[in-house]
Order: sequence, then structure tokens, then C-alpha cells
Amino acid sequence: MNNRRNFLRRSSCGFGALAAMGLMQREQLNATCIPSACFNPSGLHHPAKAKRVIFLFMQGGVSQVDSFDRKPILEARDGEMVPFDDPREFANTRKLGSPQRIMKSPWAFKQYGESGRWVSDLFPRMAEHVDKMAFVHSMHTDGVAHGPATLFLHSGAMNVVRPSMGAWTIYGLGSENENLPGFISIAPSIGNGGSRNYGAAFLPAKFQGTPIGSAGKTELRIEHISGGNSVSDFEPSARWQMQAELQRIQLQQRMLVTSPGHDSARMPDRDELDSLIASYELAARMQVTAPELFDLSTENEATQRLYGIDQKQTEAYGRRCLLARRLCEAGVRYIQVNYGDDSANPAWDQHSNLPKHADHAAAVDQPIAGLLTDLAQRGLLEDTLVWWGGEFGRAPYAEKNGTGRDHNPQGFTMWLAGGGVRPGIAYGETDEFGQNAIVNKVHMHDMHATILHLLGIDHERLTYRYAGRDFRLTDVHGRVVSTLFA
Amino acid sequence: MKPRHGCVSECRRTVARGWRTHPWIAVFLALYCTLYAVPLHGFQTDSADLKTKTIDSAEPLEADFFENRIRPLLVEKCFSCHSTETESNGGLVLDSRTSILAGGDSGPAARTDTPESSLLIRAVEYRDPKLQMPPDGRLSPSEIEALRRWIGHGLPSPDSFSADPKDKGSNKPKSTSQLAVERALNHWAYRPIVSPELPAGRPLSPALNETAEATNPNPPNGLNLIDAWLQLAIEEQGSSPSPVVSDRVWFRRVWVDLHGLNPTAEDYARWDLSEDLSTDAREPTTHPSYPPLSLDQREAIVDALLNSPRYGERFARHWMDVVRFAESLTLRGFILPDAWRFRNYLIDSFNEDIPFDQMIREQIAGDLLPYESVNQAQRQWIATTGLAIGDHNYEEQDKQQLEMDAIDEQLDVIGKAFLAQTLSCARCHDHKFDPIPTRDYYALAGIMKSSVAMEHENVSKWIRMPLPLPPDEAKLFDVAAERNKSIRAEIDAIKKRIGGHSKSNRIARSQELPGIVIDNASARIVGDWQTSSSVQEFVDSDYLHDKSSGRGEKSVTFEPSAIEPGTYQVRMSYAHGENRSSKTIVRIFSADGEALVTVNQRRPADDDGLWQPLGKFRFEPGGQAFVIVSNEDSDGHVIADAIQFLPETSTDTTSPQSTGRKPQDPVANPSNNDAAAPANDESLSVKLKSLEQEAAELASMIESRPKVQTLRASAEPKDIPIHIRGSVHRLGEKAPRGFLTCIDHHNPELHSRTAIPQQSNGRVELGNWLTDRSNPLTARVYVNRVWYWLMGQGIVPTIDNFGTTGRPPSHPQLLDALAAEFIQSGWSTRRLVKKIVLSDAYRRDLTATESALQNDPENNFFGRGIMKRLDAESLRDSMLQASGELERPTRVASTIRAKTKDDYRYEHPVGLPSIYLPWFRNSPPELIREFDGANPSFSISIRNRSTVATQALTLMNSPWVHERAKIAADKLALAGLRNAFDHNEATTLTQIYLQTLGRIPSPEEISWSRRLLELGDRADLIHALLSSIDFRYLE
Repeated sequence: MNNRRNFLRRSSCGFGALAAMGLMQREQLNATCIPSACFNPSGLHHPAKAKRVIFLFMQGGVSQVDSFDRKPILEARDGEMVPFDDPREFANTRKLGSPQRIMKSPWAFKQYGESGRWVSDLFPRMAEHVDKMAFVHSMHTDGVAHGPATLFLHSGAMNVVRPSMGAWTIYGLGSENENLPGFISIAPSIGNGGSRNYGAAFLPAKFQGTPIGSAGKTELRIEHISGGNSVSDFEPSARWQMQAELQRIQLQQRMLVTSPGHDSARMPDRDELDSLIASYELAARMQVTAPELFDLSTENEATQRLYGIDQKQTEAYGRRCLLARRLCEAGVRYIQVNYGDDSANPAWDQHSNLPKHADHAAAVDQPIAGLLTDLAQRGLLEDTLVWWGGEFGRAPYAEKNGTGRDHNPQGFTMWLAGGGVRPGIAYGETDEFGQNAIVNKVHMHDMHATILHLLGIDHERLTYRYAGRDFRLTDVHGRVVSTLFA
Repeated sequence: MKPRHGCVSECRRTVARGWRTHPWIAVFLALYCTLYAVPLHGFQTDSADLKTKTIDSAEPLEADFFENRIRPLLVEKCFSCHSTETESNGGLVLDSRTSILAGGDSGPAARTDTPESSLLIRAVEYRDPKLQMPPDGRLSPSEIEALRRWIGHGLPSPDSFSADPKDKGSNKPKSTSQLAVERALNHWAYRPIVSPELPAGRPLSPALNETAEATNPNPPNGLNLIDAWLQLAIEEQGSSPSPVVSDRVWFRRVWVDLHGLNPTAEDYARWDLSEDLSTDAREPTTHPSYPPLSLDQREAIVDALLNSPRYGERFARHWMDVVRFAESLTLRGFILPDAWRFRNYLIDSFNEDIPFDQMIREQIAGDLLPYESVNQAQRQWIATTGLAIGDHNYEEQDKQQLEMDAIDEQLDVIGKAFLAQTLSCARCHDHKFDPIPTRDYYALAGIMKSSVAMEHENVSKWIRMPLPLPPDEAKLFDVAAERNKSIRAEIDAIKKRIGGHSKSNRIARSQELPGIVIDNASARIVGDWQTSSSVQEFVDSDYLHDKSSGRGEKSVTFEPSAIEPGTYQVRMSYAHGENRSSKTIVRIFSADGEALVTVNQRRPADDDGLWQPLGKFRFEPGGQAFVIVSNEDSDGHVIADAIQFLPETSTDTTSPQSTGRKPQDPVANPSNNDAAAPANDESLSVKLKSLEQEAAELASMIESRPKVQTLRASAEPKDIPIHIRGSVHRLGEKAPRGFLTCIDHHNPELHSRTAIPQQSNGRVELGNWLTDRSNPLTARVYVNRVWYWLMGQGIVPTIDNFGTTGRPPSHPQLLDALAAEFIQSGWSTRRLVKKIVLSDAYRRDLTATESALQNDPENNFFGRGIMKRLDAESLRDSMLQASGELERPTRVASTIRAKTKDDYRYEHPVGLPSIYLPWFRNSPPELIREFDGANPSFSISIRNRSTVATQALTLMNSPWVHERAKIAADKLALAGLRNAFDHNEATTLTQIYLQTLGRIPSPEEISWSRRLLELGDRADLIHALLSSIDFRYLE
């Protein structure tokens, strides 16, 4: 203790001195211009309606006909064999129209809100917020299996490695908080693309998402943000300060040795060493900021209850949702809150046992409803876009005549709320069985384009030159669905 | 920066999407008003055509049918993507009758003879999931009907119903950028390499222009080829280059560049480059008192470095970035167990300085090249592993798509690695910038398609082949395989005999059986099933049958409530009998997807008459684990009784080959229960057991045969058609296998020399074409790469893009001189490396001269040095070196721990040099991930060089880094104890600095260190030094 006091008394060079030397973080890039550094962050191409995104990822594929896309015909014709175009069969064999047994939903539907939206008994709490939501019932996407479809949802590509949507977003808009990463994925799974789902691919590494915690674990923290296994009782702040001093001493020595008597402009590479020192300053600030941010115990009991943290079933996802709100307040631009696991058949993937959907619904329903309530009461919903959904939906018929539903990328439901979204509407339709999107279809590329638009980004102009050509999130596709805007 | 026209702003790859909103109402009104009066051409002159219609033509069309029903529809729903005024997605425009009949890439849009088969009708009906138009929603039934009638009547319409000619200004067609082919063909990179002459008066030093005997003690005053060209350019520019650095600084540069490690204090000492320790440690001389190194001394140092196995490891790592080396797949973390052989191939090849052209031919077609020894055959086969380790999504369900995506990935790597061309750009359309037509892409793709890269299943499998072995070794395996085959036959025969006898009652109780048994009582039942116990061969109280009715409507799902992750033998019981279905369909859902097995329920089950093995399956935590028995396609009673999941771990009593019953189970020995059983059944059972034991041993021996991951040449190589817009389901005309026409254009002889015979696979020819001395790209690209690895910036700065969108060479003559000499030297990487690191250019100080700062601020002319830093591997390995933990293994086989099922959360070993760590796509070692290690899913030519806060956090807080510091401190303490008499603070500090930074501390550092030691201990001091600027950055 005595040592530390001495140190603090004697040290003359603190972070202030370092900050004066610090320059913006710089990187050697093969890109000519990072939009986030060149444009006004209030909206890259046009005024933004949403400043940030919270994406509630339901891994495995929630069944639309058992949740938000009510199809009475399934009840009426339950058990009938009817020819359907099964997407897996089509991909494998290019055959269409195989007989399948129609299976009704085990859950009853009720109407909610002023908008009178139908919601099944899976999501009674979320249902209370239907008047805030814009449903898109006509989603369709690429990829019949989890791996391809999950990567497509996150990066707009199935079989080739591309930057994820969050990486594109902060590449375009930067971070609102220089002490925190701009893109955070909470409890991501390592399966089905794993880190590629929050990766930067060919974008510069700093646009990579930062994972916090992992699927199946309740602990939520940024790796290396805590003191590590310190080899002694060396206090973290003193350690940072001493390290910074050493960097400065060595930088000075270099300047003396390499260019005695010359000004530093003669050594252009010095910039990188200045950036290095600046990165240490940022890291030191993060180390102070992050643990406070991650400490959910500072929230009052009512708030914890609101997110379902007091109940065992909802605790894990509740904590993630509550953290998302805190990150949102702290200015993190893109937050993904994952509900999934590491297996090849993650969470909502009920091939054989549809009733298991109820367990998953029970785990997320209260936390998501709580998040919406909380965002609204804090005024955050106005400029925060909440996006809910999975990589695809499920078939309206029984898989292999069994008791579950297979994947269905041809038609499913997602919803948006807040951040410039027109509340209380439903857009698009699937066919009478809920199998194929047919009216006002919205492809995943279109959803990407639409969300970027709300963030003030023109998806066709957010490009990055790599390997000789300009890439973008939506490849050569994408349509902004402006009907969804308030 | 002016915006450049990129691919995404120009191309529309598929017709399926790309719908954009336009002010259509205005356009429509303008169209409608101007064209309304135009005579309806179709009605008047196509009457002959009209008469042939049978469908939908009974009712004549109303006079204004087109104007009222069709034109508004086309304008509103189709023209934004399909008209001459806007775009022609898929090559299709719909604004004249002619263009509709001509159609687009997929063929005619309408057929007046058979309207129902018209593509237009198929698209709007939304029946084909891959062809649905318009993309954002189906037309109303009446609109579809209108189109059908219109086509049925022969598309009667005005001449053209495109936009008003007067309206053209508002909606210009998108010009498809036609590249100036001639200009692109003359792009510098496609022109032949010309060995340039240096201007007179610039003598080259023969010693530097070194041949094997570069031992001349007094090199004449001359210049290295590199310096001659660089100085010429710098002088022409009116600048002067920076001075050369001190020998110690040069020494560290060359050490890090050739070995990927900081030199140690001992390394400096060995070459007489220690700092002068005779002076007071607090007043160190930064310049040694030794005389400067002579060229010969520097050459000796470089030779020593090149002769160390570390050199091959370092350069192999460079090349592993380029060929995206990895030992696992992102998808489900699958392990690629044979990839390590390819790593060793690269290390050995660089260490032996195998000519690089040979390495290219081996990597492209090693499996097809002739060989003279087993060793050679092995190394050639292993070389092709590089083509096979792409990070493919084997789970893709459209297998044609998967194959073409994998080929695209191979071509992407080949294009970037050897040619620095962005071939993938030509997959969907002719390259927008470079003279690479789609035809060339499919000419190359045909070569790759003539080899098999995977076998298809739900999750397809890459190809593993037995490695060629010396004849005696190979014979052992062949004999084993033969023996295994005959044993299998014998086992089958015995089983049949035993099975034939056991007709009597066999009722097993599920809780007495090993593994997990799900009886029909706890299964989920769909449809009308009947319980029965009339055939006494079942588990627990009864079994289910489908009453041989309601075919395809019934199923039974067996799902364990919980299953430990692992591999299981899955078996079913079914109370066999004559009236059963001979082809009962059983589906097993496991971590590997869905498997379908057909079971003949008329015969007794294979294992002891009760259990029919369905196969071995892997189950994951939380993953799917269930079996569905269904009565679809059945030809008799379908029986569903029980499913057993037997874990694969133990080998004795519960092994799948054994009866699967616990020994104390009375049912295990039929003779106890069944008096009618023949007496010799028991001896047969004993025999069966021993045979099965032997078979299992043989199988594991056969399994241990060394394998190589590779491609398998197809029996019938063939050309493939051009895939229109990159779609695997829309094929155009065939593209004969071949290479890049822009290269052959300048070298007609090269073209004829390397033509692919019809019966040939084509990869051998591709290797020959790539390495032909008249191919201008390959040598230039590689020489530039090596230059970049050593100098920090390429002569062509865009290392993997020599196309028209890349940057031109800063020194074209130097590039050609190096390339020509490289070919001349027999493609020797080692000589090229030596030439570069012995040049003055390599020794330049980082500080720019005044004149250079004026004339060349970006250092395009290499007038000063470029600051390098330890890359991820060098940083990790140098830390281990400082803590004394770095191992020095030679000949390392696979380092993947036995029984590793996937690469998730892999714990990497500590002391192995980074090159030998399992290279896992989902689990890169911590420091590799944080410090810009190459992403192994891509071909990487230039690594990211980021300076971000997470790196600082890692260095400051990672337990791994702390642990290195702690161990280094412990070692120091031990050494200190031995030399207790001179253990004082000054020597301790010196010791620590020498051990970490290879040098003695400066006075400022000494006072800083003292302050730190008041706060923490020596480990903290070492920890700080390991992440200091001088540890990580070169001077």
C-alpha cells in the first residue's frame, strides 16, 4: 500500500499528458476512406431515424404459424395429406410438390392491442406490445440448413466469407462512445458460422464485433477487461500508468537514436507508435467503464423483475436484454442479443417435438417484453431500432410425418419496433398455409437494406473495395421497404 | 477520392431480386398517352400466327385488351428491371414483342405455341421457388390470367411499347461498361517479362549478383541489382536515400524476417554484435565498439539463418496465409485430420529450396504427376491438399451449388496466389475491369470440375485417400483388408445360421439393456397404431404395428429425454415376420443431419435376432437425437418396437458387435429359455465373438493407414457449360477447358504448348501453364510477394491484384529484372531472399531525408525503411523465447490432441512454436486472433495491421501473457540464486533487459524500472517489457 501511495505522489506523467500526445487510432488500410471517419455520424447518406440497433436473434428458426402468422386452415385441415413444395427436397432433388401432413398449431391465438394483431399463447407478454411493432409476415431468405441461413442472416452471404451486418454498420457510422466497442454480440453461439456471424471479414479488424459471454453461459463480460490473473497485487491503474510511461520513454529514445536533432515529421512511421499509445489510453478507459456497465446489480429490484431476472427460466435471457439496454444507453451502435446454443440443431430447431417451442418462448417472452417496456419508458425506443427473428421459419406441415416442423426459408415472420418504424402495422403475407411469402415479399437482403436505411445509410452506397471490387452488405440486391417507416 | 465503379453498382447477378422503386406512374401516363393511338401490329399482321393458337384463343381479345390489361401491368410490375429504358436483368427486356419472344439468358420468355410452358407464366405463377416474378409479391390471379390469354393469342401489341422516345432524358439506360479490350490486353501485367538492361556506368557487384561461390574477400565496388535500379529511380527524382542502419538494427531485421523471432542476447553475442558492456551499465553505448560488419560477414549471417530449419517454418507460414491453411472448418468445427502433412510439405520445401515452379505444379496437380519413388509420390500427393482445405459450407443442400461454390473458392485462391487476378469477378459476367471473360472462368472451372472434391451426403464429406506407401507397408494394409473382408463374410454366414434358429420367445426388458432404450410405450405416435405381443421378440410389454393400412400417414418418434454427447450405435427391434414390410423406412436425426435406413422386417435382425443396427451416429449437447419409423412406401405390416442408443466408448460387453445384453441377462443365452435351440448355437456364438473381435482389430488397423486430403481425378474429365449469371441451374454453351486468354493472346505458343487434350484432367496442364517461362504473371507475382514479405511494401503494392484495378509497379524494370533472374536461377526462393536482405535498400533507416520527404512522402521509391513489427506468430513465439519455454521441435506430425471432435474452444498448448499449433478456424490461439493473424478462411496476401484497444487489453490482462512473465521471473530467480554473490539490483535489471529486449537498459529505463519494482515485482517488470514498443516494433 505504501508503495502505491508513493507512486501516486511521485508520478508526474498521468493520462492527461498521454492524451495530449494521443492521436486518433489509425490503421494501415487498403481502403481509401472509412466512411465513419469522413462523414457526419448523424446519418451517413441521409438523416437517420434510428441511432442504434438491438437485434434479438432467435437461433434455430421460430415457427411463424405457431407464433405471429395465424393460419386457421391448419386447424381446419389438420392431418390431411397435401402436396407442398418442400424447400429441402427442392434443394436436394429439385422436385416440387410432395405430400405432407398438415399439422395445426398446439397453441391458441388471441387478438391483442388496438391493432388487433393475432399472437399465439407462446408469447403472451410480447403480445402486449403489438401496437409498437411492425410485423413483416412475408420474409424469405436463402439457405435451407442452419449454417448457410444463419450466415446469410448475418452477412448477406451463405457460402463465402463476408462482413457481418453489425460490422458494416459501424464501418458506416462509427461508435457513439469511444470507450466502448461499437458492435457487441451478447452470448453468441460458436455453431453455425460462429465468429463469422459477428466478424469483419475483409473490413478492417476494428469493425469486428466484440463477443460478450457465450451461448449457454450466464456470465457476461468482455474478455481481458478484468484484471486478469495479476501476477502480484499491482494495482491496475498503476500498471496502466507505468506501461504508458515505458512506451513514452522508448518512443523518445527511438526519436533520439534514429533522427537525432530532427523533428518527428521525418519519421512518418512514428504515427503508428502514437496510435499505439492512444490505444492504451482507450483500453485503460474501457477497463474503468466496462465493469460498471456490466454490473447489473446496480439496477433496482423492479427493473430486474421487469426483465425476469428473478425467475430461473427467464434469468439468462433477461440479463442479456438488460445489458443490451445499458449498452444502448452507453452508446453502443449495434447490439445483438442471442438466444441459442452451440449445437448443430440450435434452440428453436424443433424437428421432432414442436411443443418444446414453449420452453424457449417462456425463456424469452418476459425479457423481451421487459426490454420494450424499459426502452419506451426511458425514451430510448424513439431512436433505437429493435429487430426480432430467426434465420428462417418453419413448415406448416409435420416433418416426415412426425411431430415437429422442418426449416422453411420461403416464408416467415420478423418484427421491428422503435427507431423510425411505423408502429402497429403488419406488412406482407404468406399463402393460406403460411408456407410461402406471396404478398409484398421481403427478402433478407431487403430487410438489411431497410434497416440500414433507418440508420441513415444507403445500402447501395456503403461499399468497401476489396480484391479489386466494391463489396456491400446486400451484394447486388436489396430493396428498401419504405412502407415500414413511420 | 472519386468513386469508382464497382461490381455491386453495376451487375445484377440473378433475376430474382433487384427490384427498385421508380416514379412509374408518371412514366406510365406518358407512355399511355403517346402510344394509345399506335395501331396494334399484332392484330393485323400476325393473323396467321393467331390461327394456330388453340389454347385460350376461343374467345377473341377485346380491342383494347393490351392497353387496358397488359401495358399497365408491364409498366408497373416489370419494366423497372426489364426494359431498354432501365435495366435488362437476366438479359431480358419485356418492352417489345420481339424481345419477349427472344427472351433472356434463360431462353424465350414466351412461347406462343405452348403458352403454359412460357417462362413468363412459370415466373408469375410462383410455382418454381427459384423463378418467381415480380420478386416482391405474386400478381393477382386476374393479372396472371390476363398474361396467359395475351400469350395464348400470340402477344398482340404495338411494335414496341417501351418508353416514349421524348421521355428518354429522364430514364437513361444503365450503360454496361464495356471495357476497352485492346487497352486492357496491353495492361503491363499481361505483357511478357522483358529482362531490362541497366544504363551504362552502373556496374553490378559480382559478389552481390551472387552465384554459389560468393566468397570474394574484396568485393569490387559495385551495386546489388536491386540498389542499382532503386538508386536510378531515386536520383531521377532528385532525392537521396536515407543512410543505412547500424549492424545491430539490421541484424534484428533480418533475424525477425527470416526466423520470426526477436534475436536473443546470445544471438547478438554469437555474431559479435553485443553492446559494449565494459562501460558503466547506466551509460550504455548504443553503438557497438566493433567495426561495422563487412558484406561477407553479413552474408555469413544470412546463410546461417537460411540454413536453419526456422527459415522454412517462417516462409511456410507466409505461404500458408496465401493458401488459407487451416486444420478445421468453420462449419460445426469439423477437424481436417490430414492437413498437417501439407504444413510440413511447405516447411520442407522452403528448407530444401525446392524450385518454386515445381512447388506450384505439385500444389496444382501433385496427385497426377509421375514419380520415381514413394517419397516423391507422397510429397506430391500431399501438395494437393492445399486445393482441398477451403472453408466450404458442406451443409449446403443444393449440392450443385456447393460444388460450384467450392470451385469458385479454389479458383479464387489459385487466381490470387499465383496470378494476382480476381478471377471470381468473372463468375457471373465478363470481368468488368480486366480482360477475363466468363468463358475463361468456366474454362478454368472445367479443369477443377474434372476432379472430385467431395462426396455428397446431408453434410458432404471431403476426399481422403490412402497415402502412397512403400510396397511392404502397403502390403500389410492390403492383407489386412483382404482378411477383414473374408471375416465379414464368415460373420454374416454365422449370423444367418443363428438367426434362422431363433424363432422362439425373446422378450427383453429395457432397463436391463445397455445404453439408452426407448420402448414404443414412451414414443410419440402419429396416426392409428395397434399394440401387439403376438410375436415374442420385443422389448418390454409389447410392440406397435400399423395394421398395414394408411400408408404414409403414420409414424412413431423415439427420442431420448437426454443423451450424453458422443457417438452411438443405433439399433432397432421389430418382431420380425413374413407379413412385415420389407422396406420399412427409418430416419435417424443426429448431429450429422438426417440419415435414412430401409429395414427389411421380414428377416431376423442381424444382432442376435433382436437388434438391427442402423449405423453409428454422433449426438451433440442440445442437438437433435431421435429416430422416426414411418409407414410410407411400406409393403406389409410396419413394426415399431424399440430403439437402442449404444454409446461407442466401451469395447467389451456393450460393444455394438456383441449381443448388447448384459451377461447376467437370462435372455442373453438363448439356451436357458429356449429348449428347442440347437446345441451348436453356443459354440457358434463363441466363434462369432472371436471373429468379431478380430474384425474390430483389423478395422482399427486399416483405419490407421496414413491418409491425405486431396482431390480425386474424375474418370471422365470434361468441359462444363458457362453458368449464366453464375447460376448453377441456368447453363449456357460449353467452355472448352483452358486458361486465361489475355495471357495466351501475347503468347500464342504458350497456348499451343499447354493445350489440354480431351482425355486429360487438365490440372497438369494448368500447372505447366502457370509455370511456363513465358507466363508473365506467375514469376512477377511471386517475386513481388517475397519482396513484400521482406521490405514491407510490394513493388506492386496490391500484392494479389495485378489487374487493371490494382496499382502499377513503382519500379517495372526492377520487377522484371528480379523476375527474369528468378526464373534464370531455377525459381530459387532462397537466392531471391538473400539478394533482397543483402541490399542497401533493406538496410535503410526509417527516417526520411529532406529531399525524399519532399519528393516521395509515401515512400513509393523505397528511399527509407518501413517500420515493421512482430506479427502475431513472432510476438507469441518471442514471448515464449523470453520466458525460456519455446520448444524447438523438428518433424512435427499432427498436434491435434487425440479424440478432438471439433475445434470449438480448443485449448492450445503453450510451448509449441505457433507454426505447429493446430490451426483452427473457430479457435485461433489468443494472440494470433488479437494481433491480426491471417483469417484462414481467405487467401490473405496482406495482413491487417491494426492498433486497437483490445490488443492493449490483451497484453495488459491476458493470463497467458502474465504467465510468461511469471515463468521468466521464476527462471531468473533460480539463476540469481546460483550466482548469489553478484546478485545486486543493477545486474538484475541488466539481466532482465537482456532476456527480454536483448539489450541493456538506458538510464531512463533504469529509473523507471526502479520505480516499478517499488510497486510490483520482477514478473511485473518483465510483463511490462514484453508489451513494450521495443519488444514489438523493429527499428
